[in-house]
Amino acid sequence: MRSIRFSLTICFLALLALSLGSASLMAYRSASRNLEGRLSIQKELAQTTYKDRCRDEENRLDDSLLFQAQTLARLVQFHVDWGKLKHLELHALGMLTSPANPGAFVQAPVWALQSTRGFAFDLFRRATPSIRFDPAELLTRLDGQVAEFFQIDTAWNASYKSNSLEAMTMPVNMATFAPDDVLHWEYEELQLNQNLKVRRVILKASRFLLGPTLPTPQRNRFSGSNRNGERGGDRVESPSPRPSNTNTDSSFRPAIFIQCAYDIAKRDNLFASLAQQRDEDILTFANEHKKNLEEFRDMLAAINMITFLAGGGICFWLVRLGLSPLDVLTSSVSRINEKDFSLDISESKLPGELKPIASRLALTLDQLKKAFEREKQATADISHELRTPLSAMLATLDLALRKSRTVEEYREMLEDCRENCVNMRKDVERLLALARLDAGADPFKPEIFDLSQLAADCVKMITPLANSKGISMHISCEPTLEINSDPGKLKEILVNLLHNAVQYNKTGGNVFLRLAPRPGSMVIEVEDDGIGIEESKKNKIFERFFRADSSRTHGDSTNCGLGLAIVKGYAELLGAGLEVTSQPDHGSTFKLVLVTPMNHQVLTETVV
Amino acid sequence: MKILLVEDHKLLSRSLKQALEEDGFAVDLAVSGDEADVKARGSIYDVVILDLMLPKIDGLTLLKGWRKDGFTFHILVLTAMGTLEDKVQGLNLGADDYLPKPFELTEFLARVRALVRRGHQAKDPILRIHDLEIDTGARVVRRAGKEIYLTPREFSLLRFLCYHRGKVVTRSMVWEHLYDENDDNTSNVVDVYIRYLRNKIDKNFTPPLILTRWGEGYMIKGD
Repeated sequence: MRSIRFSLTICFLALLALSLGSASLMAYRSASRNLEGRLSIQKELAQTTYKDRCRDEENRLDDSLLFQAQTLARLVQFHVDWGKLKHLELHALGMLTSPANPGAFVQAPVWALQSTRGFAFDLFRRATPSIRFDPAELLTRLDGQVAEFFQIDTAWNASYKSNSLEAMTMPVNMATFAPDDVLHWEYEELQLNQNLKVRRVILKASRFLLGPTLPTPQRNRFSGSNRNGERGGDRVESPSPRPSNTNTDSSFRPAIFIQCAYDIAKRDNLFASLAQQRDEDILTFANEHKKNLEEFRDMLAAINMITFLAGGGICFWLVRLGLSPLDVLTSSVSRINEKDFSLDISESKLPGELKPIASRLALTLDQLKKAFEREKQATADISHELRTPLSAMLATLDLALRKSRTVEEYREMLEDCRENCVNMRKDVERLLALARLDAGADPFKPEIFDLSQLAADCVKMITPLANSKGISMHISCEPTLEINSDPGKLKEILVNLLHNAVQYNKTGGNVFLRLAPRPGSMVIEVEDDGIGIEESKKNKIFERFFRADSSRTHGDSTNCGLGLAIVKGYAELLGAGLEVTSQPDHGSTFKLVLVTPMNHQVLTETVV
Repeated sequence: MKILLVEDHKLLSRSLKQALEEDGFAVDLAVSGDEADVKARGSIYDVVILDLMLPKIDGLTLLKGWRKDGFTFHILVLTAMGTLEDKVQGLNLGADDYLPKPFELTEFLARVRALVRRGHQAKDPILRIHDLEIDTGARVVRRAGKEIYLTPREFSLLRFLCYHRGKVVTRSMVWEHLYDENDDNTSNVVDVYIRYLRNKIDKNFTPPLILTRWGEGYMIKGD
């Protein structure tokens, strides 16, 4: 890992990119689904609209047809031979003619037929064998209407056909077409010839009960209509209005059948244009959909970009913020040098995660500092311990050589130098012993030996010094105590402890050496009733070069404060516990507990 | 010239004391910090030779205390800690010179002499009065070009008088500066040594250089 900052930033950005990507993908998918839905609804709507409009268009055309038919129905005029009618003195009919243009076509509204029965009708039928329209009149009346084809049939064989029909005829079955209705119309499509298909309305008008005014040609839901298939099931087939006076003579139906038709191609063209419009709309919707989707995608991309950049910035800042305590720690650690071991940082400012590190570091540094100081002190001590006797010897020899002296003077100086050398050798050996201990070059060499004998030897070694200071040595142990341990190191321990006990004692004091076997262990105690050790110094006495009370003012200068350090080191090597109890001015007891199997013997006490 | 030697190593202190005495200095000995403090404050010394590692009170503490209390004697620090930092620290705390152990006796004595000279504002190691020359370094005395042999005591007395030339030196001053703490002699011994000195320096020469001021003490001529 190159750098936490780098890795964190990369991870964060990757995570951000992943989440942004998935969120965007989901958003895009849901949005595109929505838009798809909208598009399909729009398409459906366009389709419905198209259908509605087609229907409306057709209805309009149909209504128009019906209106024309009705108009025609009103305009039907019977070509009356005025002379014949005059001749028959049909004043009633004659009154119907327009006084404005006598001799012209007599306009005879259909309703006029209704009251014409029997003879009058026969007459009428005979007199009016044909139907024709005043083309000018017709044009003005039907201006702007859709119907191109007209055909009027009557029950009495009078008929009229528009010129546009030419040779074609729109057939109508007068007998079966709404036989009971006085007013009825129906729409249907009809293939006139190979090229021409028309939609027609057949309007049957017979007895008009409602007076001269025909029903308005609005699309009347209640009027009988039998529209063909296109209307589908959306229209309830309602019964044709049945006039109440159906008791009229059904054998005679002075009905006229008016047919108006238009070329269905016209409607289809209209439909086609509507369809085109619909398709255009759908295309527009599709384009719009595509555009919306693209816009959304662009917006999403922009949002993602901005979010990513902002996230990156925030991430950088956050990582920096998060790592700033580490920076603080680093800088304060980097300030540590051999002269200043303090960790210049207040733990309260550090986050909880770093506190253990900082406190541990501070602790370690503290220990290091102490070790460093100890080492420095030790170096100084070693220097002092070796350089001072060396200087003394040098000075003494220089002094001896300075001028000629008496034999006694030379002897004295040489003896001084020798003593000095002997002391230096002891110091050097102690230092070497400690160095070997530190290096682990002094192995534990166990053998079975008699501890009592060893203790007696040690006491014997110290006795001359003790005697010189007037100190009594006491040893209490069993005659033989065979143990398995390292006799060399144990001897060193005992000699050092006894030496100290004598060294730091008062004239006439006592030193006790007790060897007490315990189950599984051996307790060796060295007790004196000398000056004792202050409580504050008890932990320090095993440190190297430490002197409880400036040893050089007590006795010889050979002791350089290494004895107890060696004792401690050897005790650790032997796996023995070492304890010290002391009371200032009352003496000290050093207790060594050796874990070793041994033979239990009777305790005896001897005074040496 | 009286010197306080503070050193806890027996052999070293004994040898140095002897060497200094053979050079004509009176030497008091202290083997621990507290003893040194008592002696330094209770007597007049020209130079204090101070070991830094001492029982009870260490040398640097003594140094600080003395300088703080206005003692102006010259201090030569002897120590086994010969690192630069130790030297700098010692000098900064008021030591006048610093000699790391182990050292050559001749260097030690030369430094002590230099400190004594400095104490008397003298740069020239050879003191000249009229036709009398005292080479403090080589411990040689000449008068009119003729070498005169002097015992350490006599040399010491002459050197003391020369360092105070033109001023009256009382018997007690001489006694204080030339005899160490272990001398039982009374100040009368000064008169005896003055007589010895006159016999060697003034007897065969003119003019007499050592003058007696009755009731006050002795004086050596100022020029």
